[in-house]
Amino acid sequence: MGIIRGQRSTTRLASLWRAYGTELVLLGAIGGVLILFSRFAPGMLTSNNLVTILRQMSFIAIAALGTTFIIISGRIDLSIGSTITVASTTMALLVTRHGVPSGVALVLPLLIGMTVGMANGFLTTKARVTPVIATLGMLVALDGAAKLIVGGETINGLPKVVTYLGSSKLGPVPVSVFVMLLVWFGVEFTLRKTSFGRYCYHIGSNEQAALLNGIAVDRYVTWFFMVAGALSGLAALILVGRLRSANVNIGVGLELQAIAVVVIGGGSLFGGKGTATGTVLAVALMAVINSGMRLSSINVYWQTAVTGALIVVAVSIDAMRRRRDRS
Amino acid sequence: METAPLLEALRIVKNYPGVLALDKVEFSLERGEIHALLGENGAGKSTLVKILTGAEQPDEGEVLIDGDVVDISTPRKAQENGVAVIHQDVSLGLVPQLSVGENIFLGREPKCWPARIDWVALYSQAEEFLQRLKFNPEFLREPVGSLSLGEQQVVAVAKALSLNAQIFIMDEPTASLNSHETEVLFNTMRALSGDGVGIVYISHRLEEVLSCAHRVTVLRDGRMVGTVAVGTGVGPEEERTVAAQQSQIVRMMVGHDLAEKHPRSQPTPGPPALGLETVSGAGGRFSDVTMTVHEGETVGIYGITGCGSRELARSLFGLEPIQSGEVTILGESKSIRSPRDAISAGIAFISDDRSRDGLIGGRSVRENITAPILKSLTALGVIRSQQEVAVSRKHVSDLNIRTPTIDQLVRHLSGGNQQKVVFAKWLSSQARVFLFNEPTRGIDVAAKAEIYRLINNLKSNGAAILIVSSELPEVLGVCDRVLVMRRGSIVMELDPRATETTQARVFDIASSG
Repeated sequence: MGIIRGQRSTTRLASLWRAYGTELVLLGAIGGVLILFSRFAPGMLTSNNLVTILRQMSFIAIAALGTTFIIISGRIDLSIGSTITVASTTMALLVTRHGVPSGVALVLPLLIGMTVGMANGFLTTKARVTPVIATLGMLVALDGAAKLIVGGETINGLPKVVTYLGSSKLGPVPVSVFVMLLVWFGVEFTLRKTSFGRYCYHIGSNEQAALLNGIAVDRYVTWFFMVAGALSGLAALILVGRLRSANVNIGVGLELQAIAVVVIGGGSLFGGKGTATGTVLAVALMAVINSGMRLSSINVYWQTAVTGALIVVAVSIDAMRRRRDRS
Repeated sequence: METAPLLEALRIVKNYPGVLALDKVEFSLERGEIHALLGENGAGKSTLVKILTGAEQPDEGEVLIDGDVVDISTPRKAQENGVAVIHQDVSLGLVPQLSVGENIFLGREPKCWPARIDWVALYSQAEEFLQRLKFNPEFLREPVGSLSLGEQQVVAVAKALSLNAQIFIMDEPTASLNSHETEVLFNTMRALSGDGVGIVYISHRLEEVLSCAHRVTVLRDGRMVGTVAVGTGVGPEEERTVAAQQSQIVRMMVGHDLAEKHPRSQPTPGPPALGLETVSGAGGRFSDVTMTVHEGETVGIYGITGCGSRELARSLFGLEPIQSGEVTILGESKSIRSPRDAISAGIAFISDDRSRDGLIGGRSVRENITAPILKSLTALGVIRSQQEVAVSRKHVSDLNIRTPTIDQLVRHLSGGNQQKVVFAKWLSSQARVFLFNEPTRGIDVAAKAEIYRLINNLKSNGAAILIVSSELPEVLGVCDRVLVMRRGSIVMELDPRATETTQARVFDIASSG
């Protein structure tokens, strides 16, 4: 059989590399960065610092895990940051000034996030607005809404129940880290083992074929936006808890960070690629770099430059892979 | 002294990791000759083409033009040596918005001082090239995009001529052309060969090759099986020789006799499974189509490109709107507005564009096969992977899909095996009505035979099958009844077994008027 003979026999190692190459590279990079900075910054490898890194990772990882669905399905969601802002500020305002019970306040950010996601889904599937434009509009609208609701003030005095997820610890480890692990495993499982996850890859890889397979593409895309919105809400809850306050700038720029880490973690802006583990490892890499630079007293604005460079590298690798696949 | 051939490839060897793509292949092309290159997928045709056009380098051997060893290590050097390639997908080299004349001279327009395009010269020179190709010069000022695909191929040829090409390599130029367009292209090829130009012609369609080529070289598994001179005569006494040559060449290609190229099994018609009552499509692409396909029956629709048969099949699967009329599936009237409606009504659809509609190339064989039935393989949304693996293994072995594992990416399979994956996914869906749009487009002879066998199996299991095809031998060889479609209407029903149903007659009916 000529066809089989024509293929290179793939060794175990090669197939492992193909399946988990991005993750392995990211793990190596995280290790490398930790070792590198441990020479300049003595505090780098202390357990205290590692816990701080994990805590800083948690909320952005949760938001990025939601974005992972969006990127895999070949869409983009620019409204993540402002969803976090609106969810945080609205919840904080209602619970501190309007007597909304804390229990309700806990689910409020998730509901707000899901509602925003549903609106994004509706705009892109029913009104057929391209996701970039629809979610950009959403970003601006929500930003305006947050400013209308809370103006320039910072809301403090949040009850303990509300700040629990963001600021408490179980033993030495922050609760938010456990929430992140839970969401990570949940998303990993969903993407690998469920029809919901499978369809996400199929829609992102070849939407037309997915449609012809009888998949309700529009309904699933709406769900992806809603999941991304809900996880943004959860991220908002943790962020508010950690800061013990909320203001209109709380989520600024987070959407770009979320998209960046999904891409660095192996996601493709053309859809069909990305994993939960890749996303989380990319968040970890960024957190480790940031921590190392801060401890070595490097100007914080370098962090932005490094993030940018990593995005360029990730996108180039993706483009190179696509070219190779086509030939 | 004997004059050297126009093009000669000597002892070409090409290795790819793990496979010997070409093993001491010899090939020659005379002036004025149309030399067909045949072989199954993976036989080495495309590798040889890549070497002749400078896209790849041979590991051993040399290429001679007019008896001299030439350097064609890059596409550019190949072009300078008078080698031109005409691809199946002409859109690669033409700008649809520009006129035929502009396209021919794109980037090399004749200028008058200081920088103005000399339109008079451009169009008169372009007209000369079109006349050399016996092509209607009326098209000269028409935008290329308004031409048929076959006519666009001719424009591509004219453009290559204007670059002084002496050797044309045509890589499956007719793959997306209908019979009429193919004829246009063949006329062009004959005109070229009359001018002393040499043509290397690559095609899957044996009938075509025999009707236009002077010699045929067959490759198999990277080796040259042989070169045969073929008669291009059309007299009645030559019919027999053509048929004999055809089976000889098929034998050379596959290495064994295919008992029958288009095996048709006996129909066992049951109750009507698919019924259409005065069905019309949006925009008048087809109108008042009334027909029935019974269980255990294969019905073919033949028509030239644009006749509406493709749109009819797509509409029945909910991909294009149905304007009016009634569609009945297994005795129940159904309204089909989306592929989901169609699938739940028990319809399967095999598109004429595998990679766009049929397959998710970047995903595995397993995922592609189970995609339409994934929901039934889940418990609370979680995929039961053992069941999924079992289902896909079963189909891979039932359909003889050649793949190292079920986790191989579909993109890495050959065309024929990809098509079998498309079949597998609809077999798993338990559909009762199968709509096939060009089911064997772009796949090799052996894979075609396997696809026909699958169609027959479906039929004997009681499926109702509707095949839309522009390949006459296929329609006449596989179907139990043939409907001819012309300008959106069914104009005639034919019995393909009847002796008066010849390819020529069916083609006449489809293209007249």
